[in-house]
Amino acid sequence: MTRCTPWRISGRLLITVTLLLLSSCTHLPLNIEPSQASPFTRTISRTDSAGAYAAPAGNMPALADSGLVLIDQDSGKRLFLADVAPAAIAWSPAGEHLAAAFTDGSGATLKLFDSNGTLRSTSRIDGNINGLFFTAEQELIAIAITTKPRRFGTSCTQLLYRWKIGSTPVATALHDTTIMPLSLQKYGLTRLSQQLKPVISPWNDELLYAKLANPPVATPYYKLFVRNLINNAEYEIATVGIDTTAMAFSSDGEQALWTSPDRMVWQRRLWEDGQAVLLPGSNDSIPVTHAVAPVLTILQRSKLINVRAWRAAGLISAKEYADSKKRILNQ
Amino acid sequence: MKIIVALTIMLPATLLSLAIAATEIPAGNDCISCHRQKTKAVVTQWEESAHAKAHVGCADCHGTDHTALEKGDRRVATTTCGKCHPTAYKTHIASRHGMGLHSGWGCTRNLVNRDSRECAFCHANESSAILSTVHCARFLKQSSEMGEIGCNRCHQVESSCASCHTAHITDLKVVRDPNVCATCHQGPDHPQWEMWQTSRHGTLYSSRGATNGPTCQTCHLYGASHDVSRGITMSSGMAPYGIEAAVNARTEMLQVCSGCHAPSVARRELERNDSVHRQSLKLVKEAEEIVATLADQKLLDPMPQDRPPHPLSGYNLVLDSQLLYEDTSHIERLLFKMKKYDLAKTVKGAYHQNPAYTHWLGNAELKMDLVDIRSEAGRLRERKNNSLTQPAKNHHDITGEQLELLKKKGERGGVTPAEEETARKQLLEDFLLKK
Repeated sequence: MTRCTPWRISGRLLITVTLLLLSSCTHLPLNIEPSQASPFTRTISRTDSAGAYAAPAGNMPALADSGLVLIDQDSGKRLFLADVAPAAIAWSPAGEHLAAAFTDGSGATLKLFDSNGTLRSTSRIDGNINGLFFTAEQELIAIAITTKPRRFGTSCTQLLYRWKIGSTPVATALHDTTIMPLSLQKYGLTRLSQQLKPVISPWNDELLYAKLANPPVATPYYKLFVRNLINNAEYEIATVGIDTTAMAFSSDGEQALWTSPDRMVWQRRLWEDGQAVLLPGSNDSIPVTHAVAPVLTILQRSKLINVRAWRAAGLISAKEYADSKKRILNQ
Repeated sequence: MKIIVALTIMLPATLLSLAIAATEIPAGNDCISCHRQKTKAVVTQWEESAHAKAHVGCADCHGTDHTALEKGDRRVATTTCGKCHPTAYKTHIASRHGMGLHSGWGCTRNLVNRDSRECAFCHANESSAILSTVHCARFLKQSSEMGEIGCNRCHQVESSCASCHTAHITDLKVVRDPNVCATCHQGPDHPQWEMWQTSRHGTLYSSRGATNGPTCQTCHLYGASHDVSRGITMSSGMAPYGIEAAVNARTEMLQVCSGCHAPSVARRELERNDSVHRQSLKLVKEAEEIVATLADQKLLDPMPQDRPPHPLSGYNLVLDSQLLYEDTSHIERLLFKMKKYDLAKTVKGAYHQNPAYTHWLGNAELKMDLVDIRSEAGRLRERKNNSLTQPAKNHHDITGEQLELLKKKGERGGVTPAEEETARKQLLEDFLLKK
């Protein structure tokens, strides 16, 4: 069950996509039940807690037996795009493109399909995919983890790939750490390096991700960071335990949320005149639908993303941002 | 058998003692008897010196390790002289000659708003002791040969009394001659000797002697003190001292001037020169701001990250006293000339009462430097605007760039916080109103 975005596709098909229910789902990481009374949701089918993907233009998530499948909502016609399940998929903001990442040896193959299911572009990156998102209609980011065993531990690097369609993906190292042998033995590599999946803001402009810290003779933990993808400004928002299982942005992109081991959801206002605000919330009270953002005109959206980037880089104050945002939303 | 054992033990010991004896200077006057043949001039100078009369011999200053002496490792340090001349040593070490000049830095402790991290360039943590490590970017760029003759021959003054006194002559005529200062205090970066020589003070000295014409020593070593920085109200980089330090230093200098001039005249002269100092710094500040802004706009050619790293600051832009004249951009080289040469000529020319240095060799050059720097900045901006590789920018990008430039300008004090806020609000307002 999921909410659907209000964006409209200009094409004739309303397409949804599904995956084989493997363990590599990247969206909807929080296991939060939205209100049954919500006008944006309806039950389509049974799935696991994080197995369905919404097409930006569609309103009907669907399931398939295996691989990657597009379903024409009107006719019910199914189009098989791949017979193996991708590690991650993402829809472009306007729903005109679908990206999928397939595990390929020590790396992954990124494939870009148009809304008709035609393969438009392919590229290969190193590392295990941990997240795949569109930042614009023609630009994707992929977060991948590379690991290398060493005598003193396992070297673990988190890479951010930026893929402008038609060019080669460019990698930036987000974080590099060494996982100690004892931690590896206790928690396992996958849990330590890939449990906490990065998420993108509803405006597709900021990335919430975790950096694993594993000091010697101490329990590993995560530092949560928000990185603005326009100007790469980033800031730390919290230090959380190794048992944290999921993160999300609030629907207005102004709060970060994560689950604690006792299944409480914690929320942090990202900007409060420079003050960190950490509030324990309950599952019922959190507006946590991923990728649901207010409907804005192109100009409003463009302006909002700019002032968000300026705020992240410290070029304007939190108050100036708040005032600007208010005016942009009222324009 | 006993004889063989005894020889086995004694022979190495005998050879060892002979080897040691070969590297040590024999006691007594044995140095003299040998060196009278090998370095006659040195022995003669010593014999005529106050040291000889006071029975201070070669080994008292040089030690007895002849091998080290031959290698040049036993130069006489100020600490050695300080054992017998404690007052001179203390005042010398406390003065600008003794405060980090070995590293090319004047001490900045009296500067307004100085960055306290600068202390670490010369001092160990929480200590006034000076580190031996050299932290001068211009020195670090030199070959060892150039560093030795071109840098250290002057900057060793902290650790070598011989820099002024020479090595073996104790006749004070040497150090009372202004020429002794000229070894270092001449040339394009601080031509104090030329300024003095061609000023009325210097003219009177050359025509009527020291009784009528003050020398460097008359004013800067007043009362035979070794404190050469007494009475000076700015750092060696010409940054003005804070109020308290400046007032104290000015009082000291007025005492010196008042030996010949009416105090009111001296005060008026110095205050006028303070104005010249401030006006000149303003010109340099404007030039620095132009270069810093160009760097913010990534318009320097080459940019710091595209040229060999600065020895102290890596790939960061450096416009302070560690500014380089090599491996830099043309506009930074112009700034170097302006700041290192022409600012010094103007300001020091004024304080040394030399009108030609103050105006034509200093102030006029400063202003022409600024013309050149503005012009070069315009050329760099125009070149970027004409570049075919630059994609057209929308107003969002432009506003972002302007906000970034404004922030950097604010961080280096180019605008006040209030001015920065006003400008930022205006940029945001314009951005929000655009369709």
